[in-house]
Amino acid sequence: MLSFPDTYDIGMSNHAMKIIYEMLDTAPGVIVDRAYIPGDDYARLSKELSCPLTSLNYRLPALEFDVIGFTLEYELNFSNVLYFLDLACIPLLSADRREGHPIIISGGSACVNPEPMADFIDVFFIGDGEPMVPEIVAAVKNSREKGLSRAETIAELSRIEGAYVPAFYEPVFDGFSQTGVNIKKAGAPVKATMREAKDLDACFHPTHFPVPNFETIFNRGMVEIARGCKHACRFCQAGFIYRPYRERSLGVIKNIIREVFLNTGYSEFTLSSLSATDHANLREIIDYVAGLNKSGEEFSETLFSVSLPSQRISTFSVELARALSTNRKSGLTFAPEAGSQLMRDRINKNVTGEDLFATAGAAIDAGYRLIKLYFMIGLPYETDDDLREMASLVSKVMDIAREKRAKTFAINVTFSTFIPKPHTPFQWAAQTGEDEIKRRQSLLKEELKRFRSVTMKFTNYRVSALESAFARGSRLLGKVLLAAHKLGCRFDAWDDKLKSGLWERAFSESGIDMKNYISRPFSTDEILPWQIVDTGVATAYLKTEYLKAASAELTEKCDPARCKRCGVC
Amino acid sequence: MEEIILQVWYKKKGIIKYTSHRDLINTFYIAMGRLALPVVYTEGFSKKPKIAFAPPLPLGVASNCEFANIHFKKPLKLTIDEIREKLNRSFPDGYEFYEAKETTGAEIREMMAKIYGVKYSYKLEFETTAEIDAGRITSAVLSRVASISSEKEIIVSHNEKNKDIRPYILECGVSGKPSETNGGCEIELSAVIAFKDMSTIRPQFLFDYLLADIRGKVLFTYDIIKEKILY
Repeated sequence: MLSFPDTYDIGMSNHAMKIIYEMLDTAPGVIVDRAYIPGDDYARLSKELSCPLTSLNYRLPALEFDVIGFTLEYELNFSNVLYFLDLACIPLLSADRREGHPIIISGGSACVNPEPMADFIDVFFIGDGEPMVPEIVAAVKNSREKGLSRAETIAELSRIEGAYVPAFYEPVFDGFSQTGVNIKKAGAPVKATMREAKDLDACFHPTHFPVPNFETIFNRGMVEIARGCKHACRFCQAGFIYRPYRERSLGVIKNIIREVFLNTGYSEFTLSSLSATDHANLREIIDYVAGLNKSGEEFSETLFSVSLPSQRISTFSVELARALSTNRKSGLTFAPEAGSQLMRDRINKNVTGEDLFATAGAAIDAGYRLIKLYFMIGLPYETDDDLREMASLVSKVMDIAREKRAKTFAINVTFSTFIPKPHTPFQWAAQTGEDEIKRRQSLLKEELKRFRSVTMKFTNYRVSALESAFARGSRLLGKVLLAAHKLGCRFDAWDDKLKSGLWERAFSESGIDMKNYISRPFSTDEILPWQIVDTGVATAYLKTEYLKAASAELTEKCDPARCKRCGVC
Repeated sequence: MEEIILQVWYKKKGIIKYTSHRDLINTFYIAMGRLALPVVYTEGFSKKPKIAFAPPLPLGVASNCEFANIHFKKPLKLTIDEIREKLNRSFPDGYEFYEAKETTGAEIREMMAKIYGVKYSYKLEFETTAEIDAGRITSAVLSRVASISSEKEIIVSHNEKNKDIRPYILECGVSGKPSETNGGCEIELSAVIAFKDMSTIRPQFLFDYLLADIRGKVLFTYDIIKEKILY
């Protein structure tokens, strides 16, 4: 059983779930189904009527599956895994599970620091799932054929490259600081190595995935054109953990698009990647989609459209904006992240204000009347001047729209709060405190209030703080999660459902000061809980990058052909 | 551009009845892609396949008589029956396309103008208890059915507004004989609800009125099925 620990409408479109679901669905001798977290009313009734959680299609109780896999891509979904297990009547703690209980596994980007969830997950699979899925299937099948016990099956699974069985390791603490790790199982590797799918063309891409019958988020044909990112923005976890940058080739992408359309009926495609505009053949891909309705095939004359999740400002061309606008116009999203050039250099976001103005101008010329901008506040070394420059960037884009007489032009700006993430150069940095973040948010509101067509959105600090705590948390946070679950914390990623008060209580009941994981800068010499995972990027490289942020020194884009700096290639 | 309008008639039954009209529209749009036929697009900013839908079916109500008018580009490479078959293959379980025919804008307008009502059936299954047996349940429901013709008005409250539903109830009666089952009883009702100038009421309103005397006292399951459009 595969589960995305949120409601169906949120989890349905998750790309990783689609990949693994279809791989398992076509694997001989495997029955796979999906499950999501039900709404409160359903959950309440299923508790009252003692009906354990079932899978979506076959309506089989979760308890009856051999393996349950959770996709964990966001720290604020952690509490929902406990909620899911509870609804499914499966013991929450890995240590409490007995023969006959499903083996609980997990993968996804939030597993690069598996420690906060270590008490609840039997085996983590860290890295790209495609090469691991057939090996997991083989290990479980072999174990069943040989009549192995649950513990023996877990041991078999642990041999897979990328696997991490937390029960084999015991972290050692001095107060809240981790001072080491004892390996409890003979033969267990010192570190879990992140698994990498070397050739994206050889990787499975789903083309027959289920289409929802009611509205879900991202209800479109998703085509993953690249994995990883060439750029090395110092705050960005995905940019470091998905190294090296890998592209799917044009021919393979064309086939996928065609197959996705014929099998699902989606005529609107999202070209998914961390920085779609870096793809060497992006223009050709867009032209291919645009030309499908003149292809002379039986489906020709269908209207196709393309959207890109986020466009890199520096490489986005006027030509591309025009090519996109020949189809249905979806919004354009750009992420300058920081206001001043100094700050953008510190975070290694290799773009200039001029790049943004030229791109915005081109988008307006191409007929776009809405641009979304993403900024981050609370970055290391940020000053009020940097914030004022953020406002000034937005103001200049509005000026450009005025000059071009784009009367209905509007900007949606999202200001998120910086969260130091594991396996990035900023993993050692402290998160800025609540009062200071609120002051900076007010400053921005004041600076931009004169624009009626600028809509500002700020992320809730409490959400960011919790995310930060669990992103850099140690195994000690397991008891906080358990306490929070007992208090009723769930759906923490939902603004209206996050119960900050209960979380505070869970931390204090567990005797843990949340600030230890949030506002304390970590020393570059200390042992970090997530160092149990080896992403391939050398810690020394991350330290160098952290120092370069202080001196606002830029690092060039990844080029696997000539660069061996970070240790991945 | 020459176009051909196909009027397709379909059933919407089973679990899919819990999807809304808006979701139904999206299901059609995506299924049009799987159909791989040259469909006509609307001329708006955001172009969509040109399909006119029947008035929305209330959420949770099944139907044996839904229709939609789909505009295709001429010439069609498939026969109308082949398209109907393809629609059945392209749609999720619960949809069944049982008829497709060529129509014109004038015919559609004429048909819409003639519609005067919709026939619904209500299938009710009750669990009897020590306090309320099958006889009491049946008489409670049947006396409500019988009272409709003598009522001048029937006020139901919905979204904090009161509405008189009596003018909309053209017919209401019992279909067949109520039957007793193991530990319960079944009653099947039918009703014709007026549809005039695009105005009608939800079939649940009548259902609420009919069950007013026993609601909360017995456990029951129900199915409301839209059986026929009358024109």
